[in-house]
Amino acid sequence: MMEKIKDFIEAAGWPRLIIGLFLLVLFITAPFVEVNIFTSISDVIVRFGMWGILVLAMVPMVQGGCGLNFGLPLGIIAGLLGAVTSVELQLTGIGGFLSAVAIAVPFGIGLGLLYGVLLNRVKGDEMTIALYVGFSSVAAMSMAWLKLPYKSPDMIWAYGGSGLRTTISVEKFWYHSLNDFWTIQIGEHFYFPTGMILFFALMCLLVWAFFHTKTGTAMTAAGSNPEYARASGVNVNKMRIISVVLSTVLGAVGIIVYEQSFGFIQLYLGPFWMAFPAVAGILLGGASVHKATIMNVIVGTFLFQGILTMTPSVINNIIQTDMSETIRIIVSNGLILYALTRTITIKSAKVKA
Amino acid sequence: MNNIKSQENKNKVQRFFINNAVPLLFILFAVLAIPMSDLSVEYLIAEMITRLARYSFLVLALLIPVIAGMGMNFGIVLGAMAGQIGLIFVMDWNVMGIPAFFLAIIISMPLAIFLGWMAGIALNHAKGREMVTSYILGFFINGVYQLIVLYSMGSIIPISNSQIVLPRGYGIRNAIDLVNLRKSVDRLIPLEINGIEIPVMTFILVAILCVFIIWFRKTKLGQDMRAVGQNMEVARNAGIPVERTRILAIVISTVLACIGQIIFLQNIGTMNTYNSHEQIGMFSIAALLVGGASVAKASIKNAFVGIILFHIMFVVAPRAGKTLMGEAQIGEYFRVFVSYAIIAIALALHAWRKNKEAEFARRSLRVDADAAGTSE
Amino acid sequence: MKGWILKSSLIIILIVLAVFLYIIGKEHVIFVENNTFISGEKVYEPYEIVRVTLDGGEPVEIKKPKGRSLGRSKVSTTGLNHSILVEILDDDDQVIEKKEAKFSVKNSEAELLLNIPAFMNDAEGWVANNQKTIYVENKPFTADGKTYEPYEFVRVILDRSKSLEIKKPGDGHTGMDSGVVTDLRHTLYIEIMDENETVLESKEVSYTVEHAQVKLLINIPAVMYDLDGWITDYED
Repeated sequence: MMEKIKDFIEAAGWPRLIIGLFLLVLFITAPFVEVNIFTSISDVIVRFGMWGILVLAMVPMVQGGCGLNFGLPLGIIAGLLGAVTSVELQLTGIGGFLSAVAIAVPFGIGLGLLYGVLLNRVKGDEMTIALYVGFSSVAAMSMAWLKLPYKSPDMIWAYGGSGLRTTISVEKFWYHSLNDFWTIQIGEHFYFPTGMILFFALMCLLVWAFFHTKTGTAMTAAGSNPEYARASGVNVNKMRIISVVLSTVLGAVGIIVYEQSFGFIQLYLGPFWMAFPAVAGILLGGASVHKATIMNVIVGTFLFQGILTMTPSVINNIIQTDMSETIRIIVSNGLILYALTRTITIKSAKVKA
Repeated sequence: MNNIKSQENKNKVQRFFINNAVPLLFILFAVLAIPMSDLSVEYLIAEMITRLARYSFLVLALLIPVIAGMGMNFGIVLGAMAGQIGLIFVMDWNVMGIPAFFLAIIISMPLAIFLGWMAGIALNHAKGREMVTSYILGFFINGVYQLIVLYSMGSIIPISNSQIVLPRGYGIRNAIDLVNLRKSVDRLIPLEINGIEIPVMTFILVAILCVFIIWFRKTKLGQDMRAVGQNMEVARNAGIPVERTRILAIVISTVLACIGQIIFLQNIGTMNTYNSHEQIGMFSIAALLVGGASVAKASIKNAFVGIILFHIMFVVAPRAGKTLMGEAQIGEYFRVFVSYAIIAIALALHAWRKNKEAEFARRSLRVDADAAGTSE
Repeated sequence: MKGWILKSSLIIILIVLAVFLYIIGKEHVIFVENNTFISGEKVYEPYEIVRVTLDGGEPVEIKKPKGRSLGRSKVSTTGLNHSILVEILDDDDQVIEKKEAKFSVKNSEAELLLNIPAFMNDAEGWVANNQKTIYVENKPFTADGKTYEPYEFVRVILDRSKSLEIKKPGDGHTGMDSGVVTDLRHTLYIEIMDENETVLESKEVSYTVEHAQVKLLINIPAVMYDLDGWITDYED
């Protein structure tokens, strides 16, 4: 029994356990400070669904040896193009959602290819360059949003008409199209967005399946030991580009899922900071710069979004002041910081008699 | 013989263009965009003198961590925040002029040292990821700064000057007019040429910092930092306390940034309590990179050239955008785009060069091995 | 060992330097006024025109008060030691009388009132703290053999901005509170209340403080019964 517990602790890692316990404490405290526990749990689940695929997008590049994808905004931009085009074409419901995805994917592939080629030239410094490539693309795209030939009155500036608005509502189109698919609603406070969670599960399944194909295993090999992989006949550069394209496409899909739940498409500088919660999510789930699993995604996203949702509401009620913004800054960046400064301990192999 | 000479010259020219790609790009941009922007040369010169006075100290604060091999220190934001807290107290106590300037520096110094020390420790735990870590650290400490300035000041920390407090009774206002020390350093030694005010004292302070940096490079600590920057393991084997040296580099940088931010704010005259420090990291680093510095090598010359080129772009871009595309908004986004793209390009070039050099080294090793093999 | 001494002395030097900078840099606003000065029985009248030079700066001409003008000029100074030069002028701008002096202010005095007639006559309090501390006490007051009792609970508003709540003495309550007001003319608004915070009685009085008075004591029962001596100098 003790052995089993010890194994679990080692597998999970102390940091995750501490944060998990902290989250539990927040959940327990909630009712005592007049925070409705069912609303909170629903909030956490919804946010988990919103961010899940964006965090999942981190996995291919990490496995492929390209580090954490701070350039996620590129994928998000592809997704935005899909979403905006779908609104322009006045598509609604699940059909609208799926068409947004369908349009976004080719953009994601195109942008991913360019991005991948760049990253192949800068091996070793991928993360910092990805960060700035992400920022510059958002700014470059902001210039484009002003000039692209979209005409739908739901999206254009009202008076003096050229250029897209900063925030576009999808309420009339595919708002909650996933969330409301087979929803489970218990009482006034508990809400389970079945559709979105199912879609996330589907994406996880696809990624898991991919990594069990020949290409997938080759990619993992290229990521963990490029020299050995090259010697075994794997085209490392090609694998890296595929990993980048996959990450970018997942980012594109992820942002559309996010938007259908959130209700708005955020253009211009909207995607600017979006890589960070995704990076935080996966690092918190136990991934490192070189290795990430789907379990990391699920655990990490849940913990991160859980803490981010619960901490402000509980603390606000305790000290009777609205400090949510500041608390969010401290908590999310503190968690990322913590994950970045973790020293990686090499666990010795256990020999079973 | 001639072929070899012309090949050598071609290589030299090639290398010159690659090494100085970024500044050259910017000069090209300036040459194209200035006429498009309709701004007069006198205006640009006056602006550049002001901006040099404003930003030089801050950009120079970036040099020391580069020497120690820690890349671009986004943690200068921490120093900026420390300086701002010092200024808040000075404004609260109603101290004026030059005494206020020095008092602000003295009281924010302990905080700057503490923050720099903490940042140094964090960066030591994230070797190889210093830039990203210091970037996030900036955001994290910004949250703590808000905790202090937006919530604790006026409630837990007593503030008697109600003019700087928010209407709700606690928390500092968003914008504070620094009447007490507006331009107090700039105008200490008044000089006017052609109607342009020259902030002599500020430039003197900057010059002192330059002398300090040049002297520092020659001290034992400076040499230690260079050794650590070139190769941590070799330095450790030589008996240099690597971790402590790195922490010291960040502490010095943070303290200099603290002073730099106070100089910056006394020049502008207004402090945006929650925003003034946020972009400082990005602007200063972009300027340094534009001046031709790289993650591994940065000099005083890079700082000054960079500030001028970067800020020409900054001032000219919105106007040029308006002339070119009919909308000033495009110019604004263009400005953001160029600021980040320049960092991306500079970093990419540096990484590409590093990879090429490693490859070249590998190839020459193989050639030597072959040569050795065949001569056996 | 030596390093420790060096670091400590450096820190001490910095602290001393900081205190020094604070003292010489702190702003003191001096209102120079050419207005009537009253101290007890003495009254000094203002002059037609005076020219005042503070700390060797720009001379300022102040006419005697007329209509709404207070006959004042605001000067911002720093540091503790100051010099003043006053020249009384006649209609032809000629100097009739002249007086120079040095004076110093306390670091805690942020705002001061400097009265020219008092200065010319060497009256005590010619330059004084313009921020007056008003001590308000809800304690027994004796006059003509009669004792007037304090009230359960009073709320006092100084100058319509600062509110003090004073219970009667006993049970850990001192029966006294204080507030800082600026300048010479003030109002006092008193509300006598019961435990439910209903106002039983209220009264408003206006009063003027003399230049030289810096700390004053107001007794509530005395105010409510209009007795002489309801406001006096406060002795620590």
